[in-house]
Amino acid sequence: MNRDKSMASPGMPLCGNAVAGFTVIETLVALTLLAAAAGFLMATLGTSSRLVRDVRENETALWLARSRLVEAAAYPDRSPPQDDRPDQFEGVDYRTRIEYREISPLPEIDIDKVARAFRLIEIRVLVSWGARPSTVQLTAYRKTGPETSVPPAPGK
Amino acid sequence: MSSRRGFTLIELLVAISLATIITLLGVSLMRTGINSSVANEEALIQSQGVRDARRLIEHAWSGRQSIGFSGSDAQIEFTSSQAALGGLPLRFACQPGEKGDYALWLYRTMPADQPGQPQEPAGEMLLGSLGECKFGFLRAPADDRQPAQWKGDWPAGQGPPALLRLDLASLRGTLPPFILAAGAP
Repeated sequence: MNRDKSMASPGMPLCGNAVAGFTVIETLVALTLLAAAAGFLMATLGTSSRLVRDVRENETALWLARSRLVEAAAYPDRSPPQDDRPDQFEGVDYRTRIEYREISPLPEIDIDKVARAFRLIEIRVLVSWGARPSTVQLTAYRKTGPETSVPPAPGK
Repeated sequence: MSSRRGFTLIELLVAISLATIITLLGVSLMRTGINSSVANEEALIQSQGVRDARRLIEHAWSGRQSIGFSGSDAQIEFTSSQAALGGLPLRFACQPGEKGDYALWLYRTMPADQPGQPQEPAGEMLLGSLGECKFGFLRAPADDRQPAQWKGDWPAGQGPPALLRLDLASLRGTLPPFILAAGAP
């Protein structure tokens, strides 16, 4: 915390003896630099943790959407299998919506006017989470028989 | 008398106090950083492990044979025709650990070295430190319009289920269900 005469700035007066301490300004600058470095370090750690959490949440949402899509594709003519568990995984709430829509294989053909040898059902699963919702969406198409009916919006 | 003098007691106390505060701050920052880094690494390793286990089950399931499937909430057994798995019987089992946790194991019946010798299944732990590990099964659609129900038991002799489900929980919480269809991998 002290320095000898040889380290003193030229022209800097020394008080009485040959030894001078740091000035208040020097000390404050040093502490400010230290605090800034610590702040940057903490910010980096926080960003790293947030990115890891985001990756995990995205992966969880993707797996959830994939599983719900497999369920819905296996049962396009009825509600998906009952699952009483809440969609809360590792402390995060996820909301799932499943949409069914009958579509024409050829858009220029009116599906109501053609013989329905088969029907094509678009199944869309949307999973969202977070206060500022992030969303994952997966879509699949299922060919079904003419007797199959599309359930009325069984979204979860 | 010397022209140099030492520190006063006040100067020394102030210096020690400042050094202590700075050291504590540094140690605290380092500890936070190390803990955060370790937690992130553990989370990533566990995610990778879960991903690998799911892919292995998916791979084996995509080559399963239509006969010989049986299962309970603790294990499933079937034969996969995937070349990498040898076309031999497989068993994925959820087994309790010593600390009240669960582990997911894969048992493969390896070919005997000599004809006539008994075949010993070789076990390989796919995932450890699980809070939950449970299989579920769904029957193929029936004529009724009632929603299907997941079952925890699938006796042998009735072919594979329409859907296979694996529920896992890490020590951080429940993971989303892993569901595989009978018709597609």
